[in-house]
Amino acid sequence: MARFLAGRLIQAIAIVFVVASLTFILFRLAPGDPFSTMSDFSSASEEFKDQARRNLGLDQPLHTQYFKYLANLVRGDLGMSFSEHRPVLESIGARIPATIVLAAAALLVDFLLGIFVGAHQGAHTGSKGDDALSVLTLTLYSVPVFWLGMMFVLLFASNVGLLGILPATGAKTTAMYEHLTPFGQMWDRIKHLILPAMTLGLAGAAGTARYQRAAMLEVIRQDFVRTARAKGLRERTVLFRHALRNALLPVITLFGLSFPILLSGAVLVEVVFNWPGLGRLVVDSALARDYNVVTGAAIVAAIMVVIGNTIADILYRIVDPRVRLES
Amino acid sequence: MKRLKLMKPVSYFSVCAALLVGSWGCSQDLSCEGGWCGTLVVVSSNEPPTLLPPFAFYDTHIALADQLFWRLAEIGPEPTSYGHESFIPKLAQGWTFSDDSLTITFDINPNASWHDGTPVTGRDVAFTFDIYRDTIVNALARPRLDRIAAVTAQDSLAVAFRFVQRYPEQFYDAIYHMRILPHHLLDTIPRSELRSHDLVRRPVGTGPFRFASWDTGESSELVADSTFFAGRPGIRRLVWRFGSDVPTMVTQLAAAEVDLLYPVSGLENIDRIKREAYLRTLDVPSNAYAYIAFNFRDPEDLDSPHPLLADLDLRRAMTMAVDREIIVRSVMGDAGTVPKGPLTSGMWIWDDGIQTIPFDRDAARSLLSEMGWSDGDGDGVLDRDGQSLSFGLLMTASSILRQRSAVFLQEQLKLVGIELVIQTVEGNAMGSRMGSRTFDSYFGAWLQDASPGSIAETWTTAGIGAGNFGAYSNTEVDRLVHQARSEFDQDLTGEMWKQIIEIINADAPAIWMYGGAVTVGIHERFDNVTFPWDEWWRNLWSFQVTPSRYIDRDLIPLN
Repeated sequence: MARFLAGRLIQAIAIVFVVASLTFILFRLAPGDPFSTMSDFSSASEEFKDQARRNLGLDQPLHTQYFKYLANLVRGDLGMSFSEHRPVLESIGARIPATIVLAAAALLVDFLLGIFVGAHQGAHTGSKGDDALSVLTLTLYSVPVFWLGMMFVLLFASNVGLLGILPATGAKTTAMYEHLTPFGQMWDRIKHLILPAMTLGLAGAAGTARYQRAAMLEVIRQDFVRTARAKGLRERTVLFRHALRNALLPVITLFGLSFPILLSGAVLVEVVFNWPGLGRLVVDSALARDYNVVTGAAIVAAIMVVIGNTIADILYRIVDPRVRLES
Repeated sequence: MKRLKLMKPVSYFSVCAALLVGSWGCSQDLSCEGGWCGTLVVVSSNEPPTLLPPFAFYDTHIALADQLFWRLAEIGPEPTSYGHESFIPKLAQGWTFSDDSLTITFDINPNASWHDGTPVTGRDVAFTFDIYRDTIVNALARPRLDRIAAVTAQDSLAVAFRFVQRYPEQFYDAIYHMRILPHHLLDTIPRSELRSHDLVRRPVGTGPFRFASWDTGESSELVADSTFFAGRPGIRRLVWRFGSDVPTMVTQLAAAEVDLLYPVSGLENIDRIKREAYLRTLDVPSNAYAYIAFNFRDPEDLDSPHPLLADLDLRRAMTMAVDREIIVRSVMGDAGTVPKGPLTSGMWIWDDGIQTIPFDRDAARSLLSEMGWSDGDGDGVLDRDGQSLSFGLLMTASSILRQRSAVFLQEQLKLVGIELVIQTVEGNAMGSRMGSRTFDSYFGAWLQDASPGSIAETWTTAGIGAGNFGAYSNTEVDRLVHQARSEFDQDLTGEMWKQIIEIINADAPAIWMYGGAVTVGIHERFDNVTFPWDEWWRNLWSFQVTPSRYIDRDLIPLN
């Protein structure tokens, strides 16, 4: 296990280096810089912009900026955010809890629902329920995440939705939150999480269900399942203890790959629900050409992918003891 | 091993019910001490990087900072940048001019204090000037303070501004661009670290509200200073929520999660707000105007004139061909107005009699024909000497109004045989191309302050390289602007500015599209609601909530 984790750590360092270098260089090739948007609506003079560039070291040659960035990165310093005027680690650190909460809740919805629906379909293939669920999952899979979010707002949000039972936006109730009891605060957070997590999770669950159905179909025809049935085990035991456990392997791979997809999906969901997460920060920073924040966020995303895949590998080991981590 | 006993469904139900009941009764005491209540939740995009005014760039940044930091004096109900008589005292209770008029001495209100209890002094004002003039701080307003030679504290409650020359907007320059900063808190912080210092994210100010909290990406909360020297604010709490895009902010307003959205763009969004009984819309004056500016230089060779748009007759024909009233009505409804030039109606030099190029499509067609443009190949686009009458319009996708107006404009120009190719790019790419002047025309917008000087930044030769991206130049305009800015007779100055605007209009360096008014969405429970033309946020502290219409968040205690 230690060797496995050490190997993953070396991989992670290499990935971070490549991601940081590519993001640093490619993003700077995009037109404009942090001060070019200031042309519209304002009286920022070229002198003002040049001074601002000098103050931030953006007037130096690209290779000088790059090596400085790498030297700082080795020390764990991701630089300063140009648009928030504070260390990038602080900017990202302030946003990442909201994104992790949203991604974790969405993952829960995604995999619990996806595995359950997919397994059910696989076990009842060809039934009317399977057909209906296939149509539903394909529809959900095809729907853009932001549209689904808007529909949920129209359906569930207070005052503007048909049912009017959940908050429309944000991660907590503005102004009132601090004046709620601890239980009230927890409940408030949960209420605000439901719509964005369902939006992000349902779109993912539809995909997961398709994978799970296919995996279940393949496993359910194998000899060991037939043997389990021949031994007189209850159908539920056959399906969930024998078939599903083996059918989970492809979905675990999907789990490892879900992290970056969730992160990119979260960008849209965070905009629709005004969720204060990393996705919105990255979009705003990209538009503002805040190089350091975008590069820092890319590094964080790369680390999340490595962690996701490491978790997936460990889960493989748990679900299928034949898999050795060293291999 | 003893098996865990599962709860019966009834027990589950009881737990759930308890949770729900608990959630209803979970607010701590909400009351209205002394009949003074009210929470205003404003939503705007663009979260500020800091709350320290010198670092504010967009109006949404300064809008929040202005609730915390006050100026020495303020523009009065008569929004002029001229003289000093119409200005109203803020941190300063009075001022005097020296005999040579080169020095203005401000007397600071002895009751004015910082939110930590320290009195405001002349040293704070001198320190503020030093900060704003510092190249490391690089405040946007720095060039506006060029004509102030020095600011020195005379004693604890007096501060003198010494000017390099006498001019009509001396007082305006002294008070308008700077919000006073606390010397006792910021002086020891190196200037290079000021921008990212912890204090700029939890500032101590002098305004009607004190800083309470800032949740990055969500909101910032300010609480009213009940001992504020200029009188207790009308509301107890001001919360600034940082929204994402326009539809989401409109949803937040419609869902009553926020109370105020300035402005509400898009007729469908305005209609949505109007449908909600607990909201109202107001059409209020604004200091922004939008325009299509032409490039006078060839984007391929900046030393040569633009092959099409350098032609005065062509620009005039295009201006005549566009029915801007129809466009404005279509995209802004009743709130929209067509500007009479590069200014908005709130500006003191505004004159209803300013001459403009009128809409006359037939005259436009005739003029184009006289110039030799005809549709020889029958493709609907005019040609002359093998060249099509087609050019690009650079714009961003960030503004609903600009996007929709551009499509209408394209249709209207098509009616006279001109092809407008809309080139939508993101803000940085647009800024970059505007800076390098690699465009034919662009859809821009400008925010004006109370001084007509902002016209000079955009439409004079001196403005080329700053706000005059199209490189429009007219020596008569330059001469008159210089004259107008140094003329002390306000009526005469007004006449000069009228003449300047009319010359610019006749030169048609741009098509003035819309501006001067916007629609605001606000919760109906607020009274005493006013939005000054140049800074819509200035009077938020005087808003009040009618007691019979309090909602829960109005009753949140001060802490």
